[in-house]
Amino acid sequence: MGQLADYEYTYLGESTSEYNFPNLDPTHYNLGCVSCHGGLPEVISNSIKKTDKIIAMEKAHTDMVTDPSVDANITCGGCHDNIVEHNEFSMHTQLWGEQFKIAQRINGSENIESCPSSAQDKFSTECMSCHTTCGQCHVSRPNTVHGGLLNKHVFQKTPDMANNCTACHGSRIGKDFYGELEGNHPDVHFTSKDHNDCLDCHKENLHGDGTEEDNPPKSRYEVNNLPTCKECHESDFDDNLYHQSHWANNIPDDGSDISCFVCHSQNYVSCDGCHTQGQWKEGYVEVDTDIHEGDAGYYKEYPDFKIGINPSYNNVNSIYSPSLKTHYEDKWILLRHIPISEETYNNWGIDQANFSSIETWEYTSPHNISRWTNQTNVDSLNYNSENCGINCHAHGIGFNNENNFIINDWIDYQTKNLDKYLISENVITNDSLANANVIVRKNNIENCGVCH
Amino acid sequence: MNSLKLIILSIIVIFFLYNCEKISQSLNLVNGEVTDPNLVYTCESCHMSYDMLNKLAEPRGEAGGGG
Repeated sequence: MGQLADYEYTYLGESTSEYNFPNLDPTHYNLGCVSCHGGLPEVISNSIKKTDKIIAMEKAHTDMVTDPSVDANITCGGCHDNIVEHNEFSMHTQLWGEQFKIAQRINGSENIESCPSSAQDKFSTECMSCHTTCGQCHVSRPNTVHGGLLNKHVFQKTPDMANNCTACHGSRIGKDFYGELEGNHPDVHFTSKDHNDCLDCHKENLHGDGTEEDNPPKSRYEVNNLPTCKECHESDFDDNLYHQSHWANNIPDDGSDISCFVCHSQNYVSCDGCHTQGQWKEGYVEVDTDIHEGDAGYYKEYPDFKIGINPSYNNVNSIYSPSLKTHYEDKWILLRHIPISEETYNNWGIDQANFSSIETWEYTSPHNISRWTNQTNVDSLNYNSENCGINCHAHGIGFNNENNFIINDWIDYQTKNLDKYLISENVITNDSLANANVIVRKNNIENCGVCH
Repeated sequence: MNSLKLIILSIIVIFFLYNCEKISQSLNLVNGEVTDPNLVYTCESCHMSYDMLNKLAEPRGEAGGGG
């Protein structure tokens, strides 16, 4: 994202301009700066010398609050009480999914309040440092990128995609969506005319819908009214034989129930060890070598693409993780390694006794959708392309002189398409048990019945 | 001797009054009120002035990107 000039971080527009905060947003301006930010409304400098001005400036900023919406009940809540009340329990405020997973791995509970006090303290000071406030979406860039006013302190009803959404959701969502990963192109929705902004699809209530206090989501995929591909693409079901035979609808007899993302995603970023010393990413050094085994202090980002099996397929009440259960219609899913290791919270004085209870290769929905990908590009619409075997079907599909499918000598383990599947060799020993149910077994790939 | 003391005291008083006047002038104080608008700073006088902010704003870190 673009770097702001030093003055732009707090610039309200020139006093003589009609495009300044008072003129563009008189409703909020007329509340008065100090009524929200504190500090002194007026100070007197001893002289016009810079040193005296700085002294006066520091005096003016005495007890000033940079982000008054940290205490939204007192500031924003005066007028926007209903939104503030719900937002207190929203995903953005509470990081419910993180809470659930951390608590699961520490002691099998469902929220951080059930964990030791040191975990609660560190969650509050470290993890929650990323949660957002009203102002960090509607007035300024978020703290994670050092803030900076969006538009002269004018309150923006709709947050800006680049300056707000992907300022936080940047390393994965943003990089994917804008096509910044080497070899990728932007998400087809980003380049379309009508649906190129996050909020064009994400119509769920980002402030929370009022249900979260009593029924907190255990995963971001459990948030009510998340967008789905089928909302817009339901009619595409019978567009072609590929859709007909792969469409995920929880009906095993009519095809293989593959998540849309498996076919229509490009490579995406996985991460290892981002938080392994209990600090945020800025304190880390990126390394090129494999640090899977938990070299605390380092993190690694790498492009990857891994197809896995959803153990919750066809079973909405399964025992598996919430993000897997939510996608029970999908048998074949994409998996992304998340930045967690057994040592992650050692710096908190916390062991993850229950580390293997939840997968570290998690269900993912990469935001780099494309009609033509390494999976869908089969060079042919007559459905007998050899590329089906090259691209995905690990047993290797060929065709005879009559253009009928034949299956070659079972699986060729050397075929490059095996790289697309999460197999046991991709998972380190410490992660094996956690991911046992999402790993694709070679004998499963051999067996036609698993897919068909 | 008393005359000398009186002279010295007078000089001190005059010097004191002179400086009070100078200070008053420098602050443009009339009956204790500051009248020089160049020395009175409100939120707007800094945050709605490119010149002021450009002189006083502190550098921030690289904008970077989130997780």
